[in-house]
Amino acid sequence: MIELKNVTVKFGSASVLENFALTVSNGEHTALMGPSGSGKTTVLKLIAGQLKPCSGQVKVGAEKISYMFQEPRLIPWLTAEENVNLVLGDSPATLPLAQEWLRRVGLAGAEHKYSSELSGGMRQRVALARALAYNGDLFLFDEPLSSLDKTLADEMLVLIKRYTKGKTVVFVTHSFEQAKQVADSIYVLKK
Amino acid sequence: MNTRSIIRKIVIILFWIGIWAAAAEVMQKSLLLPSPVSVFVRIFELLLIRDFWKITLLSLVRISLGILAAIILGIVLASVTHYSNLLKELLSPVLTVVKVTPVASFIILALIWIGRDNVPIVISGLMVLPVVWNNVSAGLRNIDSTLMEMADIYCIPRHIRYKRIVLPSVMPYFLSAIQTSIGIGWKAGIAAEVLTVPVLSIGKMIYESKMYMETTDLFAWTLVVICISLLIETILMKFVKKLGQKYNSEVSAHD
Repeated sequence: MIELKNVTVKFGSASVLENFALTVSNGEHTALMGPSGSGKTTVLKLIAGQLKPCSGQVKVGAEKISYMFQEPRLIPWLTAEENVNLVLGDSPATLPLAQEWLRRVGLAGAEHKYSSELSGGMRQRVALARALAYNGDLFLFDEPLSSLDKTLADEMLVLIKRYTKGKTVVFVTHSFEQAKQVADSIYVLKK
Repeated sequence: MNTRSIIRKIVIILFWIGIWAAAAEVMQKSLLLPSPVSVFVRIFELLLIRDFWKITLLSLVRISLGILAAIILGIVLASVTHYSNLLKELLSPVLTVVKVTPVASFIILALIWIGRDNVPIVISGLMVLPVVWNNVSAGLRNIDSTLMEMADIYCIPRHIRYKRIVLPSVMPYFLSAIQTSIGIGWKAGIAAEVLTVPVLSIGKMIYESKMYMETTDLFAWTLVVICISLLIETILMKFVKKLGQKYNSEVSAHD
């Protein structure tokens, strides 16, 4: 269960969120939409505990969070499989599982590549594989399919739905189509 | 290195030895400039003396000890000052003092405080310490915070974080410190030996050759110092390259 009550976040004098409220029940899939700068990523950061609100309450009932950031945040000196394996315990025994996740996101053959050798879309899929492999109680996706073409984005959306079934999800996107496919409820944030 | 470049290097060295020989021939004063032949003969003679190896080894051990201690201390100080602002503020004047104080002042002070045998250890260490401290601090400061956030979110254990994020981030800075400081540490250590003349040391041999106007000996011992310096540099480069490859491709790129 996620509950944000009367949350206000300010960066300097600029107010990003003001008296913002959001409730997501356990197992519910929620999409956040809105123009750039409306505070979607800020909401995810609040939920992940990376940001403290200036005022208001943030309650998150999850032990393990799978967060797919807006940028892939891959470790450049690790290969794709090592990046995924990192969240699985970084042991040789879990490497086949990391490889399996890469195969699921369509990256079979790219296991030994470094992020500098991958395209933007491939990096995003490695980050997706990492988030899904971690298998949190709560999934936070920040525009997870923004670098993918429509066909690939649809395939990844199917994957996200399959592996987050029964889990709480907050999905940030600019695409209404994606929000519709993934979410039980959609919030639209205004600037 | 291919045969062609080896030959090229040998020819360059021979060229400069030739210049040296010509200059010695023109001057005809072995007290000021001995001929290369006499210097090489002297080195050969030295190699046959048992004390030569003892002296060289002791100088090497003494100075290496100082360098090694400085590397360890530099890493420890960089780590504690990175995580504690109070310690950073408290210890930063020490770093500044070590950096700006003339090495000769330190040699004299160390001579008074700790006795001549340990001065080269301290001096070589003092040359290496600020470089390692500074560079490792810079490496720690430049760790990508977004990667650390990612590690927080995914609850990556501390030891894996160190192995996979911290160490590879700091390694290029550390290796660069090693590359730049060890040669300086070695030379400063020899200088300290010359000024403090510990028993059985290269510095003492250089000092005595100056005292007795044995210029050939002075050249011979200087050449020994140069050869050891080159040897250390070669071994070090191999070590740095290997460590760079072990940790990440980024390290190799920084080399």
